[in-house]
Amino acid sequence: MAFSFKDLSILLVDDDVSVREMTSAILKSFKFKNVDAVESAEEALILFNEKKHDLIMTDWELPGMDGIDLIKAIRTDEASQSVREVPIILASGYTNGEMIKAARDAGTTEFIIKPFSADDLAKRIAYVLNNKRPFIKKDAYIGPDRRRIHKEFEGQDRREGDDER
Amino acid sequence: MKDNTSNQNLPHDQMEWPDKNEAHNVIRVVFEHYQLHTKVVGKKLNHAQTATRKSIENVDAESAESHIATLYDTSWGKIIALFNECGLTQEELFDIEKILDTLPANIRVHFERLIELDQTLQTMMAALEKMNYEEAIKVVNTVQSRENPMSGLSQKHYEEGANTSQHKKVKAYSFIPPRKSE
Repeated sequence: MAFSFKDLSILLVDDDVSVREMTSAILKSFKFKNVDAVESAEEALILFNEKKHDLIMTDWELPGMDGIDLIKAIRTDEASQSVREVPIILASGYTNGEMIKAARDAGTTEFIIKPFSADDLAKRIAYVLNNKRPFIKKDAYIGPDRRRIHKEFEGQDRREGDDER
Repeated sequence: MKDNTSNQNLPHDQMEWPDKNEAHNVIRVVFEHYQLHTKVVGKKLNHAQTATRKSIENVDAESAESHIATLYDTSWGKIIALFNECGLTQEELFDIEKILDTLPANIRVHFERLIELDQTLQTMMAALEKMNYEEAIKVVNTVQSRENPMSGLSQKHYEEGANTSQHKKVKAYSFIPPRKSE
């Protein structure tokens, strides 16, 4: 699977300088049109508001605002409605179930566990771009639909009008 | 991190996961390896193309050898173009190296000579050998073979989804129709 993301820009947020530089180099080798890399969520917000990247990849643990705060800030930003649907990949070592739920409820598009290889990263990016989910905007939740798989109801139809369908 | 692939069915909370430092060290190794491997394969491809052209120079244009070499030359052109325009997975880099291992003798002789003379490539290949790649990729594969804790999706699902543009629509009901009278 050769891949090219040449029409897309990506914003990478990671506070570990060596991981950030290497991931940035890997993303450039995936032929992204533009790769911006910053070390904090605060810097990311400023840059994102200026450049409106097509995709964001952020580490969970960051100094100051963390990855979850960043996602919430983007998803709830009334000033930039058109770009708050941007796909966001959250990267982290494993954390507990409660934290995973918090990440999902913040509006995370996709989660990737560290460590991952360049192949894993490319495939996960391609997956996110190829499998966009409906975007939900409700008082209680703003983000991509949290349901991934829809199972058809297999029981007996009991609603009025079911016979005509 | 111990190889605990036998614990794949444990709840996520009970599995053993690499800590942040270990995860970052592993990422550094596999990413460095990927970058260097990409450069090595790129250089080898250029040498393969040069070797193929050299092999054509020395034979009759109408011969079978020349015909085969011309086919190889066309293939290198396509692979090099793909290499320059796209990112390749590491799996594909290994596949290209397998193709390079099957070069016909008349091309191989020039190819091996070019590789031998390229000191930069020799240094890169030696560095590639010294990396703890096998160990690092084993840790990556153990972690990535587990179900994703947020989505519940498997590696296979992600792999298939990366190759398709189809997206399953989630069916949602915005109202509840009245029940049939029972």
